[in-house]
Amino acid sequence: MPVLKFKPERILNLTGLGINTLEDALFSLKCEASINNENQLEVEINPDRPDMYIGEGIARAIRGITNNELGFKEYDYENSKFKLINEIPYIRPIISAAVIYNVNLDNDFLVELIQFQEKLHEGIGRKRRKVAIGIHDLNKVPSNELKYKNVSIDDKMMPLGSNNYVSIREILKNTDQGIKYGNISLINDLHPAFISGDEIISLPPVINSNITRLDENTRDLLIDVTGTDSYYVNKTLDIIVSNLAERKNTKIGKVEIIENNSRKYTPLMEKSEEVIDSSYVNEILGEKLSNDEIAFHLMRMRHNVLLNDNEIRVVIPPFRADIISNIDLVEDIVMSIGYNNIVPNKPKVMLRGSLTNITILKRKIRDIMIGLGFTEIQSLTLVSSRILKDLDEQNYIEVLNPITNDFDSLRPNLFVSMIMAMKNNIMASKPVKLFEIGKIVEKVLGKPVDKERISIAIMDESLSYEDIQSVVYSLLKMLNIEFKVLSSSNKFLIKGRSADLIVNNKIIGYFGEVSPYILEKFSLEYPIVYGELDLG
Amino acid sequence: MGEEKIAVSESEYYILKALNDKGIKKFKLEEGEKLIGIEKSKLASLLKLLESKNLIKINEKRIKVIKLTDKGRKVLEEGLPEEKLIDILNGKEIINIKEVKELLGEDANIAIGQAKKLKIIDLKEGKVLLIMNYNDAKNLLNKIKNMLINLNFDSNTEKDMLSRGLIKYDYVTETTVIVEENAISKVEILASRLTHEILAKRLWKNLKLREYDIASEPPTVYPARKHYFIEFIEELKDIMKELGFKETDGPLVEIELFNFDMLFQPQDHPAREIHDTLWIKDPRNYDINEMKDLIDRVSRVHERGWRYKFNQEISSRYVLRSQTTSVSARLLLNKFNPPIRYFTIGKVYRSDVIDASHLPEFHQLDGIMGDHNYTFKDLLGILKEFGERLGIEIKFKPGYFPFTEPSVEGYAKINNKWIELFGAGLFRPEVLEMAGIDYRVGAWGMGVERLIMARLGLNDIRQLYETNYDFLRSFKLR
Repeated sequence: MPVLKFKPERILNLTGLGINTLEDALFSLKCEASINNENQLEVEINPDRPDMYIGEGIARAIRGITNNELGFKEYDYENSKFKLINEIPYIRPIISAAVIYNVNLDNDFLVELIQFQEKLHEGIGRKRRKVAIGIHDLNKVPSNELKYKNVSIDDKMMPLGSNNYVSIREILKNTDQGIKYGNISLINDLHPAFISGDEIISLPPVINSNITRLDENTRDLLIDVTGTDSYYVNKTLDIIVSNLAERKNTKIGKVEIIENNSRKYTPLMEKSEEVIDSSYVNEILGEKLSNDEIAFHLMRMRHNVLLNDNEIRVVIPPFRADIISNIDLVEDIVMSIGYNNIVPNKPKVMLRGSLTNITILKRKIRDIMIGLGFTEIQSLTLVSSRILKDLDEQNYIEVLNPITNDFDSLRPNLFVSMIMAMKNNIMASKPVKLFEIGKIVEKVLGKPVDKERISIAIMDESLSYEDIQSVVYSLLKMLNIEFKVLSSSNKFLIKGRSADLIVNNKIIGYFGEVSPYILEKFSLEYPIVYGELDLG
Repeated sequence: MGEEKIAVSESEYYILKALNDKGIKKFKLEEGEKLIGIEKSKLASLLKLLESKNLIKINEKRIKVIKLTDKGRKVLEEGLPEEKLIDILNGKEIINIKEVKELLGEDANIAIGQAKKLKIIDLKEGKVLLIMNYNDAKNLLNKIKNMLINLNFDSNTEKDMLSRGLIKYDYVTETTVIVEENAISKVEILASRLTHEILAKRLWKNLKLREYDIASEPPTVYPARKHYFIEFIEELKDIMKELGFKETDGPLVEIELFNFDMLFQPQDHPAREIHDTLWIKDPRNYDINEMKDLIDRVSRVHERGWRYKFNQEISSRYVLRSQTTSVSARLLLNKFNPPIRYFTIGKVYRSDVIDASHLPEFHQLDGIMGDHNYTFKDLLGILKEFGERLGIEIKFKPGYFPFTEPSVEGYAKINNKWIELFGAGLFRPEVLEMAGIDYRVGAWGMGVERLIMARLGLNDIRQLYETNYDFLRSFKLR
C-alpha cells in the first residue's frame, strides 16, 4: 500500500482538525495515519484513491465526512491559448495537457507535488508504462505552440538537473531515469517528446527538461500527461488538476489538442453519472436507509446527487478513478456511515461445518505419533535446489524468479526437510525422534501436483531397520490399514535394510535405514532411520 | 510404641521375616541360601548389615579339614606306587630290585618301602618277593585307596599319607548365624520406593518410605510434542467448523486465472509483476483451452471494468499461489446451492526477503459465505463472531481489495495494540459474474502467522519453523 509523507501542520491547516481527530477521520477513509520519527505525518493510502495522494485531496475528502463541505464544486476555467499538436507516436500515442494558474509553489508544496507525481506514476501510471506526468513552470515554457511527436534519439535536450544539451541517446544510457524508464517508449531509435517551439521540454515517460524546471517561486503550471490508454491518461490529468484547483485563487486553463484533424480541449474534467436504487443499497448493506440518507452520505463522500421522484442520480466527480459500478458507491455510503457504526448481524443460519478427510486423518496420525514418542516439526515447502541436487532429485518444481537461492524450489519429498532438521539437531540429546506432516510438490505428467505426506525419523547412537519398521507397522496397524512390504531400492536408504510399503497394490511409501552415503554428504555422524508415506 | 524401631531395607526385612516364619533361630551360613532363597554372596552382605543393627549374631569358628594335595590327586588317578609294584610281581613272585627301579622310576623306593611295611613283600639279596597272596594284597591296597578318596583315615594311615605328601591339613571358617530374640518385631522397612516385590511379598505394612527433599530439582524429562503452530491452525479449523464452515483445499501451484484474474486483479497490476509474483520454471503455462467459456467471461469482465486488452496467456501462467482466495475462486465455480460457507487454511507464497517478520511462505485462512439475501451486516457479524471465539476484540476499517466491495480490514486488539488481522468484503459483482453466481458472497482472508506470534509472544517469525529438538520439546504454552 502506498505510504505518503506530509508536513503535519499543512494537513492540520487544510482540514482544520487536531491530530487525533485527523487520524480517526483518515481511518474511516481507508487510510492509516501516524506521526513518524522525523515528525512527518505518514499516511497509508489505498491504491484505489490516488486523488488523496496530496494534502488538498485528503482535505477535500475529510471536509466531506466532517460535514464542512458536501458534494463537489465545479472549478473555474478559461482558455489558455496553448495549442498542442499530437502527431501520435505509435508506441505512446496519448497526450493530454492542462494549465493551472496561481498554484504558487513553495518549498513544502513542491516536495509534496513531486511525491504526488511519483505515487501516481507507481500506481495508476503502472510505473510510467501506462501513464506518465510532466509538470512544468508555465512561465518558463518557451512557446504556446506545443507538439507531441517521435524524435530521433540523436536529438538533444537539456535534461533535468543539467545545464548542457545532450543527446537523448546519452540520456537513456547515462541517467538513472534513462536506465529505469528508457526502454518503455523507445522503438527503432525513435522516442516520443513533448516540444514547445523548438525545445524538447519533456521526454515522456523518462525525464523533463531543466528549462521548465519547477522551483519555490513557480506560480503557474503546465502539465502534460502521456500514455498508452486514453481513459487513464485523462483520468490522471483530471485528478491532478482537480487537486491543484483546490488551492486558493487557482484557475484552470484548457489546452487545445489537435490530432488527426480533430480538436479537443483538456483537461476533460469528466464526470460520470449513475442511477442508484435505495433497495439495492439496503439489500447489500442490510440497512434501511432512505433516499435522503443515501444522498447525504454520497454527498459527504463528495459526490453530487440529484434526487427526483424516487430516483437517486449520482454525479461522480472527475477526480474519482475507483467508481467502476454502483457497488463502489455502496462502499462510499457505508464508509460515510462508518464501519463501526454498523451493527453486525449475529450469525443466524445454522449450517453444518466439516473438516476434510485429510485433516481428520492428520489429527489421528498426530495423536499416534505423539504416543509413539515422536515430536512434530514443521518446515518450509521452499527449499534450495542445491540440496535437491545433492540428493540426486530431478522431478521437482523450480521457481523462475526466486528471491534467494536458498528458496528456489518446491520440495518434492519430506526427506530433504527432515535431513536438514536432523542436521540442526546433531548436538541434541539422543535419540532424536521427529515427524512432520506436510505438503510436497511433484511433477506428474509434466504438471505440478501437490500431495500431503508424513515423514518419520529417528537419529541415535545406533539404530537398525526394526527401529523404524516397528514404528511404521504400529502406525498403520493403529490406522487399521492393510499393507504389504517389498524390498526397496529407494536411493536414500540402504538396500536390503529398507522396504517399500504397498497398500491396495500401490506403493505409498518407504522406510528403512538412511544410507551412510547420504549421511556423510550432510555430515551426519549418527545413524538415521527414516520413513515417508503418502496420506492422499 | 515407646521403642524406636530399627530401620531395615526390604531385603533385610525379608530375611528376618523368612527366618521368623520358619521358626529358625540359628543356621549355618552355607545353608542360608536354601533356607531363605537369597543368593549366597548377596545374603552374606545383607546379614552383615543385620548384624550391624544388632538383629543377628554371626559366629565364626576355625575348623581343621584334610585336603588332597596335587600329588594325592595324581596318585588317585594313576594308582598307588605299591599297587603298581604288586601288579609287576603278580605271576613272577620274585624280581630284581634293579628291575623294579627301571620299571617304576622314582616311585620304586616308596612302593617297596610301603609294601614292605604292609608285609606284602620282602627283600632278599637284592630281590623283591611277594609274600602275600596277590588278591589279598590288592584288597588291602584298595582299602587304603578308599581312605584317600573319602579323606577318612585311621590315625596311622593319616600320618603316613601326610608324610608321603598325598594329603595336607587346611583350616576353614564355619559361620553360624544366630537370630536375636524378637528381631522381627524390632524393625520396620525403610524403602526408597514402593516396588512390585514389596507389594507381592506383602511387606508394605511394615514399611517406612524414605522421605524426600521434596524441593530438590528432579531430573529433566521431555514429552513428545505436537507443534505449537499446527495446534493453532487446528484450533482455527475447529472454530471455522463450529461456525458452520466446510473445509476445502486447493493447489499450491496455481494458475494466474484463479490467483488473480478471477479475483478481478488487473493483469497490469503491480502485484502481478516480477517483484511480487513467483512463477515456476517448467512448465510455465497450463493448457486453459478446456476452460474456454470461463476465460471468455473473465476476459469480457476485465476489459469492461479495467479498460484494457485482456491477455489469456497471462491467465494460463503457473504461479506459487499468493493468496488462498484462489481456493475460494475455484470453489465459486462449483456453483453450490446457497447458503454456503467454506473455508481453507494453507500456505501462500510471497516474494519477500527473509527477516524477523517475513518469510517467503506463510499460512492464510480464507473463508467465503454466501446466500441470496446475504448482507454486509452478515459479513461483519461472522467476522465479529470469529474474533469472539478466538478471544479477541475486533474493529473494522474500510479497505481496498480488487475483488471485494465494500471491503473491510479487520483490526484485532492484541496486547493492547490494534494490529491489522484480516481483509474481508463482499465479492464484487464482477467476480460473481465471472464465476457465474447469482447470489451474494462474502469473503475474508487472514494471515495466520501474525496472530500466533502475538498469541505466543514470539518476535521472530522464523521461530515458527524452529526444528531444534530440545527447543520444541521444552516449548512453553501460553
